[in-house]
Amino acid sequence: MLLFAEAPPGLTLTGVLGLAAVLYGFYHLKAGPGNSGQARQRDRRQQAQASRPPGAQHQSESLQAGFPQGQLPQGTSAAKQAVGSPLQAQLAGIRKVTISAPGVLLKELLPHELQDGASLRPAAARVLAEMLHSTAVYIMAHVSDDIGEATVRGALEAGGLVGKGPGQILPHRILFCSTLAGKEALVRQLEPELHIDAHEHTVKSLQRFMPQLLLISARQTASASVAYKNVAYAASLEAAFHTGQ
Amino acid sequence: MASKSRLLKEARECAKAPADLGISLQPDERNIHTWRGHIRGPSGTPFEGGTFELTLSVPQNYPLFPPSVRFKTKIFHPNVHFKTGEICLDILKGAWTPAWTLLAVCQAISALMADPAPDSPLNCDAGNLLRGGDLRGYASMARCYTLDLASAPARQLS
Repeated sequence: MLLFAEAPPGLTLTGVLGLAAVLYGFYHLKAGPGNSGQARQRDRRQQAQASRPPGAQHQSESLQAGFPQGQLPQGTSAAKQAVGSPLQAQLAGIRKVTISAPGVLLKELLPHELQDGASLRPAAARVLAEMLHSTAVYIMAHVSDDIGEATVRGALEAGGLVGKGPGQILPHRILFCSTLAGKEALVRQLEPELHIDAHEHTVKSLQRFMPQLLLISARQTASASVAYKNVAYAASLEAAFHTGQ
Repeated sequence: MASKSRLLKEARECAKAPADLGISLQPDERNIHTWRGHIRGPSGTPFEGGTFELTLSVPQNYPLFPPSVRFKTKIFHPNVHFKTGEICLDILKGAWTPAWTLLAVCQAISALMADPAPDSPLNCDAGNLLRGGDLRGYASMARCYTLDLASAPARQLS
């Protein structure tokens, strides 16, 4: 009371005017005309883009980086854009994946090499486990006989990849065939959105039928000899999915 | 009307069919010309452990003309279209005679499951695997689908 009584009239006026100015400003901000609403929407979009992680920001680009659909450069230059992007973002729109285990998940490539044993690639196994969380995955292997089948199954089981849990594949979704052409028939039957293979011939044969293929090959010459719009190349599974391992 | 009395007779016979036949077959409660069948996957085949549902559509002029039979459960077999369930079997086409019954048709389909004919495939991938001698690939794929799509509890065959 004392304060009000002693306050000069000028100050009181300023206080009222100040309050009015604040209310006026607030009114414009909150219930302003439509054009400022659009501007706010634009701002919000910009803010959202800025706050996204770099991987998510270029979700469509990173998908292309992994499995090109257009005129993408070969090799890893496109892949570098998406380093650190989550694998799930790269798999957006992909419900079913088929993977030929030899040369992709396993170090061995040819059926006769699998007779003595199969060695799991740990980094590729980690990618597979993550892939299994969101995608229906079918693994296949071209083997000579029951021994080859047992070594492949054994290697996947030893890696903890087979079972009913998250990040595991159901045992019957590991398919085996005894011919190279048989593997192509399996892939065509399953109609995946993406097939991953280390065998160049299979990729060449399937490129007419499959929407997207990924050829895993350590040899860069392989990339030069197979140039198709729907085929991507990478030295390893982890390199293709930029998991940084 | 002839077809109706014949179908009623067949329905009575189907009800008496032995359980170890691995086949159950019954008409729709409201329409005697629509039947539903279940075939147990023959043992020793990649379909073992699965139960496969069939839909049989019986024409008015049955048994002069064959029923139209389709797999409702998806099956990987060279003589069955994977998406439509259409079956390529001679007795369902030109080789039909009125001596066949709906139950016998189901038995023939069960035999076809165990003994595929890959030379005239409705599923080219299954046919190519068998014709290329890749039994491992064929069995592997067929088993995968059996477990994924046909291994629901076999209530109809209990």
